[in-house]
Amino acid sequence: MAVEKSMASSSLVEVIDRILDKGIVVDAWVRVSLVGIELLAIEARVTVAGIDTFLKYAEAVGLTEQAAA
Amino acid sequence: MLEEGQYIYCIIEASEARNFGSIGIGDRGDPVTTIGFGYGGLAAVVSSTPISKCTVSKETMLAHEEVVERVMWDYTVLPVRFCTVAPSAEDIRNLLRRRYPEFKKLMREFDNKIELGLKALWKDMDAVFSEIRESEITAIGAKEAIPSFERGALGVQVEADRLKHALQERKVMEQEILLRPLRQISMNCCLNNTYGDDMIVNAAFLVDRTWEMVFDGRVDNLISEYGERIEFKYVGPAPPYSFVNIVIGD
Repeated sequence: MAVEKSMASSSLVEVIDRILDKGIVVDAWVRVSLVGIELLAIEARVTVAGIDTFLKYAEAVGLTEQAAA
Repeated sequence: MLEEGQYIYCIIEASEARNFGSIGIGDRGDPVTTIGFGYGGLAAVVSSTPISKCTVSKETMLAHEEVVERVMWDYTVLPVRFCTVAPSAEDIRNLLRRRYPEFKKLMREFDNKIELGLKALWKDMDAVFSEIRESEITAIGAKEAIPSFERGALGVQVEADRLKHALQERKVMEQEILLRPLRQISMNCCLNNTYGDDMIVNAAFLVDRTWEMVFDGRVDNLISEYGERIEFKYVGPAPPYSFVNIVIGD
């Protein structure tokens, strides 16, 4: 087949997506502070659509020139 | 010296004791073994670890996942969340005893099931932007579709929000097309949040092992059909993390 299929353990993003907030949780035995985990998770992921996206969009479809004209 | 605890990776059905090798989390090469309970044979897959310490790092997270993937070769697994450390083997046996019927039921439910992950991302955002722009012009006319830059930061924010909605709408539309053939052959499907402008699909599927190759074929079809403009990231077989979500309180 043409598709490349990899194990989840070959990508940190894939692993973070799974093991941090899913699976069986034993409340009393979770030994890690969630704050640390969230920071790390954000680092591995990308930000969502915002002003940055719009500026890229404006440039791509030529709106910036129109506005300047 | 730090007190030792038992790091738990997953729960399996096994009546015999097992040693999966010196692949335990941390840098000591602790052996990964089982702590069993009961006649029906539930066991927790564990390794020794200092009880107070659980470092969140790339190495520890990958080690956790690798152990569960290794165990999956031989067993149906109920994966446990990262950094779960029991004070003692006795505590684990107590847990298995207290939750015995529930774990047994889950074992039957997940018997021979695997998780497959699929992410789909637009390759060329400029092209997607152009398509959105064209449909806006068709809908409201070129003149009105010029954003109100003159209104300054507020105007840009309004336009950015409008684009965000347009992008989301387009994602949902394409998502449906991509997911349909995969949902048909899955027991369950879990849609995760998408990250970034270009990600259209971030999904996990619960699939019977015997259907894995059929699923591969369907992903292959998607690639032949949409591969030019969409990049696919296909992952598996993975432990069924996305479908085992139970919280055990005190």
